[in-house]
Formats: sequence, structure tokens, C-alpha cells
Amino acid sequence: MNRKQRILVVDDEPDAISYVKAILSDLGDFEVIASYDGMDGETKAKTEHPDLIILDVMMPEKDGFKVFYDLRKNQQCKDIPIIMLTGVAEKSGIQFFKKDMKEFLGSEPIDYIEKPIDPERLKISVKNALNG
Amino acid sequence: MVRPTIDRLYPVFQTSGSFTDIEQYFNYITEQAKTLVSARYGCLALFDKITREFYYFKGCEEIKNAGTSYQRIKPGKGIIGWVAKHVQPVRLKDARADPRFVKEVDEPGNFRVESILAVPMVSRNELIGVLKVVNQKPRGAFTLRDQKLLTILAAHAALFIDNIRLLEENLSQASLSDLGHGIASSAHGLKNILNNLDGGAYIVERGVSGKNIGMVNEGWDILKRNSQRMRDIVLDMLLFSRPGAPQYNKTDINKLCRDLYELVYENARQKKIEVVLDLDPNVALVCVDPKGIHRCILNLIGNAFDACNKKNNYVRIKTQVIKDDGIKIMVSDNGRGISKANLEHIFDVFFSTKGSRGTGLGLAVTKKIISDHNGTIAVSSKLGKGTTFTIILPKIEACV
Repeated sequence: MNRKQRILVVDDEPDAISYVKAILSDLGDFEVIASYDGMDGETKAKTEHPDLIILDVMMPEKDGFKVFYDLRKNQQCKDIPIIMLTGVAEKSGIQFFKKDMKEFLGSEPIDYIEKPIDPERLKISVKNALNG
Repeated sequence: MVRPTIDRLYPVFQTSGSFTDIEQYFNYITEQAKTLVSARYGCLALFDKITREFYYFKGCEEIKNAGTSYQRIKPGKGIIGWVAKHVQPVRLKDARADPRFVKEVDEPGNFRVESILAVPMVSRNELIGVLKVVNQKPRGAFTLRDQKLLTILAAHAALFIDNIRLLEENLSQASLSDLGHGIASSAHGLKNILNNLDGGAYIVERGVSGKNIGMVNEGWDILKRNSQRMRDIVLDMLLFSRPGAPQYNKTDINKLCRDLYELVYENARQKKIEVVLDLDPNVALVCVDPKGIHRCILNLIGNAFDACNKKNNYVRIKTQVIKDDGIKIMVSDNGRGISKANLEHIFDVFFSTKGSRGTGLGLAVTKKIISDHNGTIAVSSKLGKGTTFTIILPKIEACV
């Protein structure tokens, strides 16, 4: 398969998407699809079938966790790896969501990256996700 | 005998409000109870709702004499326990002869208990404690009248103690949870901005090392935009926490609005929002804190921009002279509108519906500044139709 790998980035902060795009461009030649809110992100996941989704948690109206749930319930999207971006520092909160997700969906995001993003950390996570 | 009774109770009712220290108040009430019915000793036993136990207030004379600081009493035990359980007074000439008497509860001190009068303290149908007096001095027994007097005093004290506790609970809960919530949400907002600043720097670096001027410009814009956002948040925090009075100055509100128009013009153009100025030429120089009012209108414009979600978006800034030389400033948009449930909370500090972009400070600060001007701010909104904020500022004579 010779097509570029496609990564959907969903974040309500356009500047944060620019950042992720720049990091990804250092890692390889990807096609990056940007989406600025949860609803739109979910729609794009369903129509574009990206190889990876990088999903922000805190977004107005539909947040990242809700998007995650809905994608996991969708037959075509349930296997797309998802990395979650979060400004939520509380580890306990993330632990809670992890447990919650595993219990109810039998699945959880393959990684959580805390904001401010450590570029090297994101690169490793993306590499693992795409090769795994 | 009516007159002396009023004379004794009156100062108690009058003084209660001035107590801020609850322990001092317990002392005071115990002293008053003793004086009121001519008792040798007095004591206040408080009820602990959680353990359902009693404890004598540590200022209690009996306890002092016994050399311990305070003592817990199992519910139902002794005369005090009976009073609490049945929420009824007990009045005995010879306490020790009563079957309910338990020495360690009713006579913990190093003196002999003879006559006793104990009344429940109840507020909002909840037991606060028991007020008791011991050993009536002149007659050797408490009368029914003593019982009535002590009941009035106990009812008053119960209400007062309950109020103090409610106030303390509210204060600590409200401030702690608000503070915690607030710090968490502002930290979150700041983290997002930090993330963008990191991103801007990263992109500039890549642009420089790759000699890509386009990337340098992109990163630089991100840096500028986010340092401005950081500045706004910090300024809002300072404005909100600062108790200070407005710095009044004669201000041309219409000019202030035109300056704001210039300031937001580029942002509006990018977002395809038309900003309309509708300024009343009769608005003369008014006495306001120009920086504060600038902040308010800018916050409202920023919100209006965020609400715009249509093709033909507009934001209108209108000024108008109203009666008694006050002025009205309106900022309206034709954006998505605010739901009824959210309308109730929009002025609450740290309330935000903007995800990572909101700090919940803007409108709280705006309201504070307007209130500091003795003005009002009101909002009307219709989902899908738009929102209008109306600021009314009265004429202020504070300017030199």
C-alpha cells in the first residue's frame, strides 16, 4: 500500500493543531486532517477512515471522551487507534476514565499525552500506534 | 416580675449578634443562664450530630473543676441524655434522688449537685445541645418560671449557634470548592495556552532551521496570539481579585468603542464577522474607569465573536443616553444564543461553556466592574437567534 498514512487531529484550539501538525511533519510524511470540534471530528473519523486519531479531551459541546465512546460503538471506526490529548493533570481522573472505558467498551485509548505536549513523547506514541 | 425578666433577657438578645467567636458566646450564654435563674453553676452540652454523642463545652465550670478539658457523653445517658432524647426539659429539686441521675454525666465536677434544671436547645427541628443550670441559690429549687425563662434563652442561643455554624459551613465549603474548581479550571486554561506557546516556539525553530519563512511567520503569530491570551487571563484574574474602587476619569465612551472596533477589526475580518457601531452622538464625556469599561466591552465582544456560527454574522455595539444622564451600552450578536439553563450561570466565576478556551472569568469580571460603577448588566438571549448584553451606568460625579 503506497498511500500516505492519514492522521485526524481533533482539537478546539487551532494553534494546538498547528503544533501537532508540525511535530508530525518531523516524524514523516503524513496527510493530516484537522477538525476543530468533537461533532465534526466524529463525522470526519467516519467518512475519512484515518489510520490514527489524535483527540483532545476538553472541547465545548462534545468532548473527547464522548467522541471516543461513540467511535468505539461504530463498526467501521472501532479499531482506529486513538491517542488522547489532555490538559487534565489529575492522573486519578484519567485512571478513572481508563477503567471506565475498559469496563464498558472493552477498549481504551492507546495513549494519553498531557498538554503542554512533549514533542518527543508524541512522536514515540504516534510511531507505536501506526506500527502496532 | 415581668419587667426585671425583660431587663435580663433584653441585653442577651441584643448582644448575641456581636459575637464572632463561638466559644466566647458559649461562655456568655452560660453566664447569662446562671444569672437569669440565680443558679450556682451552669453548663452547655453540645450535641455532635456525627457521633450522636454529647460533649460539655470546654468552658464549662463543672469540667474545669474536674480538671479535664471536655468529656463525651453517650446518648441517652444521665439527665442531660434524657433531655436530649425526649427533647423535653427536666426540673428537679433533688437530682441525685432521680433514677435518671448518672454521676459521671450529671455531676462530673468536684461539687455536689442538688437542684437541676436542664432544657433542650433546638433549632430548625434539630437538637443543638442542652443548657443546664445547677443548684438554685436562694430557694434551693428551680421554679416553673425559671424553666420558661431558660427555655427562651436556650431557644435563642440554639438559633444563634445554628446560624453561626451554617455560616461557617457555607463559607468554608463555598470558598474551598470554588477555589479548588477555579484553580483547576484556570490551570487548565493556562496549560492550553502554554501548549500553544510551546507549539509556536517549536514551529518558529523548525522554520528557522529549515529556512522556511512561512513557518517562522506562522509560529510567530501563534506566539503573539497566545501571549495576548495569557495577558488577558492574568488581567482578568487580577481585576477579579482586586477589591479596589474604580479609577474614575472623564471618558469619551464613543471614542472608547471606536478604539475597540479598531482593536478587534482584524480578528473580525478573519472570522467573517461584521462589527457595527451604533453610537449615540449625545453621549458626552462620562465619568467611568476607562480601563475597566474597556475590559468589559472587550469581554462582551469576545464572547459575541465566539458565539458567531452563521454565514452572515454581525456584532453590534450600541451606546445611548438614558434618563438622568446615565448611559446604556449594548453588545449584541446574531450567534448561537445561550440556553436557559446556562443563562442562570453565565456571570458565575469559573463557569464556562467554551471548553479549553474558556476560563469562566470574563463575565464574572465584567459584572464586578459594572457593579463597582453602581451599574447593572443584563442579558437576553434566544437559542439560534443571538444574544444581547446591556450595561447601564448611572451618572457618577466622582470625576474632578
